[in-house]
Amino acid sequence: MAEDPTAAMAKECKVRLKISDDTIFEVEYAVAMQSQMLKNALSDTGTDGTVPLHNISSEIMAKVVEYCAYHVNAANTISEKDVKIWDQEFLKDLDQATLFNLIMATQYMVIHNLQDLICQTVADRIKDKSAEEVREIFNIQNDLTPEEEEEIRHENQWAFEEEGWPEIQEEVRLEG
Amino acid sequence: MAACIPFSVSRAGSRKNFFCEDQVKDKDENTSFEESGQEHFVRSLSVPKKLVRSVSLKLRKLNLKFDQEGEGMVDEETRIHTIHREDQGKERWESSKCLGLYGKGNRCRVGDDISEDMGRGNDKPRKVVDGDCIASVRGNPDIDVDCRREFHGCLDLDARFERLREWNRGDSQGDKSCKSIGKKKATDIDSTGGSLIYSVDEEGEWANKRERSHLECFAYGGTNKFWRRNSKRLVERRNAMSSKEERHVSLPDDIIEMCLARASLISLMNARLVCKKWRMLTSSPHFMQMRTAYLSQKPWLFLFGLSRDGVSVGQIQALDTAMNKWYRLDAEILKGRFMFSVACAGSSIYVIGGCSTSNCPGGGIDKTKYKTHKAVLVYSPFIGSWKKIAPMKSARALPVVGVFDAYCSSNGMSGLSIRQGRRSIEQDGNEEEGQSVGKLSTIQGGGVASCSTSRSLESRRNRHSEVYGGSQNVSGKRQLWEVLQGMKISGSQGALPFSSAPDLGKIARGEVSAEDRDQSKPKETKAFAIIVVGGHGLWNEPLDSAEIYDSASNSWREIARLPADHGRVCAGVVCNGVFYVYSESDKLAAYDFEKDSWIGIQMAHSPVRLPEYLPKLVSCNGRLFMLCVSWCERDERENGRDKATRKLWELDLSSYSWTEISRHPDAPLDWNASFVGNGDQIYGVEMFKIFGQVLDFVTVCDVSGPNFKWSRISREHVAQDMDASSCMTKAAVIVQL
Repeated sequence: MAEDPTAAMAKECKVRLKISDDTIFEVEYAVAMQSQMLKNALSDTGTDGTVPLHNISSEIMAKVVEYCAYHVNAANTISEKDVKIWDQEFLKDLDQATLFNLIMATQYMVIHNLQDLICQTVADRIKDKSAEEVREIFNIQNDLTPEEEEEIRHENQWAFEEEGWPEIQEEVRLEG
Repeated sequence: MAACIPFSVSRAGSRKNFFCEDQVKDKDENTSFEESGQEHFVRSLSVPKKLVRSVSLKLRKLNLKFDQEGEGMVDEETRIHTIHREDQGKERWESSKCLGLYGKGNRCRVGDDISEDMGRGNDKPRKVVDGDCIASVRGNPDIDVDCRREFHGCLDLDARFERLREWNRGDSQGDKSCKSIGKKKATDIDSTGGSLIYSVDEEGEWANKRERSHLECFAYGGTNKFWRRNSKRLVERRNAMSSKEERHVSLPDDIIEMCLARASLISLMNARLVCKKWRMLTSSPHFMQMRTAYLSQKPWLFLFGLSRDGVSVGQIQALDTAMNKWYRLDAEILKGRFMFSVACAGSSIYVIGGCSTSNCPGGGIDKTKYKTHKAVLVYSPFIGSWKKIAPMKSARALPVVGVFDAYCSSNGMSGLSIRQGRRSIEQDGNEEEGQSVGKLSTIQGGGVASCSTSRSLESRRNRHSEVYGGSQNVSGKRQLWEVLQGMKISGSQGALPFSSAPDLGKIARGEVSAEDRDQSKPKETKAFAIIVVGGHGLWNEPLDSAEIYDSASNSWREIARLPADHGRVCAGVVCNGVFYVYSESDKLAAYDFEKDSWIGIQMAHSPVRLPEYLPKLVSCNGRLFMLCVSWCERDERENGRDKATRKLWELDLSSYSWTEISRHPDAPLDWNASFVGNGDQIYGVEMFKIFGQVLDFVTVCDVSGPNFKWSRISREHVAQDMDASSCMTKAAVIVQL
């Protein structure tokens, strides 16, 4: 296909991304290709122009680029375990607002592995939290009436009751 | 004129004094004011002796000065006594209390602009006010002017402190305004002459909270600044506050759905309480599909049928195998019901048949009389609801049950039929030659959906199958291999009104469009079938009839009876789309869907087992296992006694021979132990009465690994207050939740 030689050439190119405050990020082709949306956009327009990404801020863009760049590098060189550790570190200290903005940007740019990672992180963050705490995190108003709440609690009542049964005192394992 | 006697109250017990550690006093006690003001003042500062001397000298000078001059202005608001001075041609105001130790030229710097000194360019220029201990109060909008006046008008230290305490307790009898503010903030003067703002935390505890940088009159101001900047607590608070302000990002629904789909079941239970939208998001069938696609479901072991005081408790015990935690579900509907069988299809549990004790006319329960049920109850743990589906044709107690997952029903008319890769029989009316075997979605619970494994058929050609004909089957003998090969369940992509297996790959990538989502609603559950065989009937007679439930049409249909010489079935499971049953007389049979007949399988040999223990069949990932108890080999005799062990056998599905895989480490004390398979694990629940109490043990074995070791899970005993009959009536099932 005629695409192939140009694709090879394009790999050396830098892709220019223009974000909300008109800053331009230049990233390598391979890094940009992590994003499906960019992939599609660039296959249409080629790598000459600048891809506008108006709804992403520079802080978020920096994070996205960092992730993609690392994963491009890590694809063949770094072990999976280390990549996972890096991923955890990457998202570890982000506050909620940044995390949420990041996931929306990721969804817009269609980067599957980062999206999965952030969703999993969010799921882990709400893991042991009560409903009120979760509301705080997501900034949600409670619009359930007390009756409805009672109803839901009743439905899931078993999950809220943690019965502590007495621990096994001795080893009653009989080997016959 | 009283000297400036600062408080020496400090609640930050752990705070270090950066200057003279060896002189750090116990900061928590209220120092007494019996000593002379100056000495006390100096001692609490913990300052080097040289400085102490110079300070005391200056203080004396000051006091003398004021005594002499007795003039000056009193600032209206803060009641600071300031003196007008002429210094180098500039008019200045000097605080009466300032010792003038700080700064260049050792002069009082009241009224100066200190923003440069502070090195914080972005700050507004600050003016130094007396000792700054009071400056914070002055600038503090929270504290009422009157309160401030009161506070500072009161030079009696004890009273001051008491007032502070009152404020923070909130029970001040004075101004109401003081009360409300006092709760939040009250200033105080710490031993270094800087100011501390005490506030009460959520826990009602005092906390040192220095919110502003002040220029202290004394050199130790540096201490405060340093501490302030680096205090972990303060930094965290600062960050928390700033992030609170930014945090107005709300996520769109589809992202929330994606995140929740990855959460564990217990997190989801909490999530449903958050708001209406979340409740709706987590209840949709599409959401359940997403959970399956993300593989975020974990196996939960549900234990039924425990009884206490002779009556079956209306409770289900559920074990979260991932977290090793037991939960108890109330299920009043099951109270008094026992000897039922359970099966899992989709995310629901089916309670099939069983008996329940009847009520005496005079109230109470007649334990001698009971009735056997045809009814089938369905429990959905995720939603926490019970419902009833169509009842069986015959009432059964403890039938043998199997579940066929994800099969295709024909046009809803004749019930079941199986599409094959080969030419199918005219009976079901759909000639689908060479139809491609579609890919199947989820593998759940009992039944296992197949991938079309081709088996080596040659070795089986020589085996005769004894085809137990049903009344409608006239075609005579067939080779076993041919029949069994035909018995594959495939999900066709063809034209069926329902059960189009949702494309889980698409769901996982979040590419499901709104139309797809809507479409999935009516066809939310894939069609499945439950096959029920045997059990005990209304008059406790053993049954050999069998029936099949078709979820699509919500109806039961009778199928061929078990062959007479098969014996009583005691275990059955669906494996690779075939329902195998094992009888007490050690016979293995399989049900042929298509021909509606039972096929006896000739095994190379069957494991020798103790007849008192019921064998159990388990299916894991297309492999068939059996657990039974037998005597161990001669050479393992201990002390001349034979040892009984529970062994795990695997049936080779091509040669029909049993191989011993592993041995259960526990002595088999439960003759009706339950075993269920899920993925690559076999879970076992044993319950028995020993030493006067009923104990239960849950063990798990991974059958994929090289060493088939059994390990124990769950260190809690759930059957503690149950009685011994629970052993017989218990039933277990694994659900992916």
